[in-house]
Amino acid sequence: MTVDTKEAGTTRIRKLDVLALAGIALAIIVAMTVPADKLQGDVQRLMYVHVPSAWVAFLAFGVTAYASIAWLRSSKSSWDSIAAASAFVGVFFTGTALASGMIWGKPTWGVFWTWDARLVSTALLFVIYLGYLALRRATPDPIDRARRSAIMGIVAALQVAVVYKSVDWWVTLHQQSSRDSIDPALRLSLWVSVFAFTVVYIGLTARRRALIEAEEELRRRRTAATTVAGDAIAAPDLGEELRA
Amino acid sequence: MPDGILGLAQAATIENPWSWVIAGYTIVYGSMFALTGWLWVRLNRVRRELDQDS
Repeated sequence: MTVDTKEAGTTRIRKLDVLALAGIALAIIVAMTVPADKLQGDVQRLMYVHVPSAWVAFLAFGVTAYASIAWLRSSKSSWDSIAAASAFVGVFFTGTALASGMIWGKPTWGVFWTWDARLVSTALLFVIYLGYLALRRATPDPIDRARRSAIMGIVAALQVAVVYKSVDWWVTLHQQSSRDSIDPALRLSLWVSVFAFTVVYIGLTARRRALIEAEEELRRRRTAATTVAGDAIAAPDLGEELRA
Repeated sequence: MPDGILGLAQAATIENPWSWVIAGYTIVYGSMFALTGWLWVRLNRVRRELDQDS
């Protein structure tokens, strides 16, 4: 990474931070001022953090799958770092979707957790992508790591479809999609939140990607330095003397 | 959102709904800011080490 590209990347991330902050501020203001839901009252306002979290998690895992396919086709390391960064951020947003869903579930369903198909499939999605991140940490060689995680990044994306269709395939306590029946004012507020969360996702992924690439560069330099130093102090080959 | 009798019955008797809303927003947005801060600190540290190495 050259100084110019590093500075350009930092400037881009800072611009995204400003846009994300403005988006979050707008999303909170709109979510707090939009009329309350007729049935649930004010507690329904949790929808404006729960649904965008789930949406961004799906987006993140979709990007991971796309970047994984792109790496398998091109072997460019940039695709691997995009896949890894997006999966990391996706795991984070799956966590916030689960947490906000549990907080919403307690006052509406009476329980924080129930063994419902949507909840269980989402928890499974969370664990699968934690496994993806663990696989990356457990594989030191960059090429092996990229290949193995690319395959897992593609296969794991199937679970996203399972989570999405779980409310249709099984009888669940979780409601089905209300995309078409939602009140226009509530829908507008939801879209503002989705926009803000998407910008946050892009900013976090860009920052995580920069960190992955910087850590890889540091590791490469240190490995090279260790190899040179190791060569310099390597013990002499005593094979011939011992054989003599 | 509730989609059945249990959900509607619960929704009708929600006490202090704002406490749940504030808890949810604090966790989601709080963790978002915490993650951004953590990534920012780590990235700066690694870049500093890279600068020192070069």
